Amino acid sequence: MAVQLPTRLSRRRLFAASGATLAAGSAAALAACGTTEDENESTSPAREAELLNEVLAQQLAVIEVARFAAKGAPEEAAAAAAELRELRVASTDALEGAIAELDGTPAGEAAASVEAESAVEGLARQLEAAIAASVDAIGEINPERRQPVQRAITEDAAALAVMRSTLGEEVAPDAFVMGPAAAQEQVAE
Amino acid sequence: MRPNGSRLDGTGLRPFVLRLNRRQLIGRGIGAAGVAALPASLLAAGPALAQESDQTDALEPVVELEQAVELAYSLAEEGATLKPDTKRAFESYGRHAGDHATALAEALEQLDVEPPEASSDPSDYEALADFDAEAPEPRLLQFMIGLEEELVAAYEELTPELEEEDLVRSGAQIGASHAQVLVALRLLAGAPPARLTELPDAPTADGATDSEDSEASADEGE
Repeated sequence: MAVQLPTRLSRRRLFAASGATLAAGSAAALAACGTTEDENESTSPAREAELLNEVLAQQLAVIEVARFAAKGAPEEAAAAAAELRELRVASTDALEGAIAELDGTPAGEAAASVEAESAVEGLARQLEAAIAASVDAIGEINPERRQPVQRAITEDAAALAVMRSTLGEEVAPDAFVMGPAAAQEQVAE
Repeated sequence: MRPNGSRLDGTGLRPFVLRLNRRQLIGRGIGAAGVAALPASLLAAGPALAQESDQTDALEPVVELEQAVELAYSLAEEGATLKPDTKRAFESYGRHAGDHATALAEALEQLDVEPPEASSDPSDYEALADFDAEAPEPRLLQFMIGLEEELVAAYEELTPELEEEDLVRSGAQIGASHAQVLVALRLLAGAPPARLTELPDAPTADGATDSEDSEASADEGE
């Protein structure tokens, strides 16, 4: 069964969001991330709504793909997909509320999709895209709204680990989770 | 102050990364390179950030916990009789924890705060109070699962305290990494499918967890 997945973030955006180079223990790492704006200024409500909408679109896509995996996948993956789907239904409700509080309009549509070979692979690759987008967004989100986004990243990462296990991939390959595994990214380059 | 954490002591353990503060870097003649490598966001912040803050106060215990976890994996890998998959996993996840500790210690140094020094003695770490490096594999797996749960919760609490965007993103990436390690350890321990992705309760806005809130409500109801 082919599953539609949201388009991956570009490498530039991934690396802008990434602390991966920190793993080398280099002081250059933080500079490499490229953020130079005044960190003490809070993000405007309009921008914050925009960022939360990017996260929301990814979560809506996860709900769609998790539905397939919850039905047709092996037991471990199916259980994780079903649980994740419930979590995302609740978290998208909360995100929509937060966006409305910021006078924004919640994104009604899921993020764009790409093909995958199976439901489990579809969910794995979708979760990688969702994690990458959420990590990208969280840096600019004001402290009082960060926790639910961090929670979603953590939940997505846990579910991704189960999908990877089912697919025979390395379960926890990276010290800094960027979305796609670092080795996978290098192959793609 | 903890004793110096050099583990080049014949135990065969991987030595900690040598950590130098900015003063030491300048003293060794690589100050210019060090300063050039600092993120513009931190340099621009100047003296206002060059001191202890809520952010650095929040980072320090997390660095210490990562150091403790790195040590626990390393000692268990050396001391216990482990299946090959578990041994490989402990080696890899110990390296992850070491990378996290190094990265966050670097961040503290860039904020001009001396990071906690790593120790090679588990008794220096509260988190390792009940740690037995020679315990049977199932007990060690359960112990490491407990530590990883603690780390997942620690990063959820840390994120709202962080100020620099890069640090916030790195905190999210590291928390996600611990969530994946948690799943990997549960798979090794043979946890039932329904438990694999279970995470510690999320902290609420006031810093308590959902379960603490429920317990408090139950107490009030009694």
